[in-house]
Amino acid sequence: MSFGLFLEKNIIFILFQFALCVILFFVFFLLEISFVFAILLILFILLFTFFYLYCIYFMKKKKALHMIRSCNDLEEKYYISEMMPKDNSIEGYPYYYALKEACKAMNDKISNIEKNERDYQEYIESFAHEIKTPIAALSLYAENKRDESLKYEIRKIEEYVEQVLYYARSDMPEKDYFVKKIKLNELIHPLILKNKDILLYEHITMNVHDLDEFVYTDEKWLSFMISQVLNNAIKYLDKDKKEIEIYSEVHDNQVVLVILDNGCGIRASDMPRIFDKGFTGSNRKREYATGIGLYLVKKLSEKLDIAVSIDSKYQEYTKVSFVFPKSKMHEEIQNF
Amino acid sequence: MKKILIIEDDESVRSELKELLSNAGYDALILEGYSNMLEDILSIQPDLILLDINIPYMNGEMLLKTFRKESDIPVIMVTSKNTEIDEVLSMSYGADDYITKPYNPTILLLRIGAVLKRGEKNITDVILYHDLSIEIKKGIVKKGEEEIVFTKNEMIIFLYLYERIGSIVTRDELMTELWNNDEYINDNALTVNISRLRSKLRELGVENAIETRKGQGYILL
Repeated sequence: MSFGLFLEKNIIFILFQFALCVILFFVFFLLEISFVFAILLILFILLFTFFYLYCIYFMKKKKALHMIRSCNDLEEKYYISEMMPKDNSIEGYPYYYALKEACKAMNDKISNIEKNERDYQEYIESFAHEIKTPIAALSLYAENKRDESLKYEIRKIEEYVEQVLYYARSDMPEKDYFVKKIKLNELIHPLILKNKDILLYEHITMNVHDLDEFVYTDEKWLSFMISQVLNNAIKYLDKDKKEIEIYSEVHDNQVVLVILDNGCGIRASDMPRIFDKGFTGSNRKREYATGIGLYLVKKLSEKLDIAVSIDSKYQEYTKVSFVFPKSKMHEEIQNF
Repeated sequence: MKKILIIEDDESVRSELKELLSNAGYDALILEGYSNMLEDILSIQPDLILLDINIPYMNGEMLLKTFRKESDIPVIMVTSKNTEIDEVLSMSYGADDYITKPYNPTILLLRIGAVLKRGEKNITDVILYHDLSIEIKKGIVKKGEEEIVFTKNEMIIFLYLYERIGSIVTRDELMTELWNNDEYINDNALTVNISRLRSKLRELGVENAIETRKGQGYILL
């Protein structure tokens, strides 16, 4: 948008001015008006034209820059049509009109999609809630009949349903988020109890220690994340002597919760992709792997400000660490 | 026998729940009809109420709120929605505990047990068994001058059997009790613990204290 380009665009106007000058010159010549006066007048006209063009250029550039800047400043760019000044000029108006209409159409479409998405999410959530009643009935039935294989299948169904529910909610955990002080032991204990049957059935040794630390977060979300990791640990144990170790460590300003298993581990080549949605590993037991568990763990951990890292040696161990910031503020409140 | 009242509108859930609670040694009742629940509950006088949030006519939370003005019978709220709002609301209306569906039966029973126990509070430090006196907190078992130490696991097992003296206790119940006390031991360890407990009791002169009922469990005599 240089001045040169602007002049080029207005070439007809400039040529017209030049033509006018030439005609004027001839008229003056014919009327025998002083040569100097004619030159001066023509120079004046040319200078005026130039000045006029420059002013126009300056104003247009200012307007254009303003528009670009306000567009850049907008987070939701499609609201630009609401911000721009009305342009009634013959060249501006069609663009103004087109942009206004285009943005309006798009906004309508977006709100439509958002509404559909919300409806869909609400439906998924209500589905997950509704299905819990029959699952509860089934699991009570299995317990009463001491039907171990039914219990095993119900465990899987429960796990899938939980995943669906948390997946649907994972975009907006803040909608249902309640930070409180949680003792790690009190969080882990029910998760282990819940898995008691499978842990005993699979002869898994649980080594649980040093869980007296406190963390500040939402219990439900964290509990879901840990149970995903625990489920994975149980699923991929393959040694004769199966072991899962759960403990916490305190570093300077962090509490680290570690879940370590001596299962099949993760191949180094798979490591970069373990948190990807739908990734089920190249060599793991494919049976009932959704590729959603760790993806959700990662996604939620980011929203909850918990760092999750995985360290593994193929065919030896997998070590998952949840790192919680140990805020000084909390300590001060405690000491207060 | 403790009376537990089930208020739940899903028919399969409540009949299975009743069976589960009966098997666990409770007197389980189902509230029929929702027209005048408050009067019904007060006339039944249960020891504990399992109340589903989604019941017809009156929301479970509202029922709890009005009920609390009349009585302080322990209430455990049951719901399929695990949102914080429901939980906070229920607890503020005076629920004693809050469980989300689909409940794991083991955990449900533990929570019921815990709420019922909260009401009792007659935990003694020393119990007497035959001619032994058992100091629970110290883990010491005395017979006159003789003294023997029970490990934590042995004490948990002994106490559980002692509380149900004369009736059969399944291995699964013992296991749950141990796990509930953060002792995540396996099947073999349970067998070992029981045989050690037996030999310790024998040393103190109580022969055949724990009998094995094949395929059913153990019984303390």
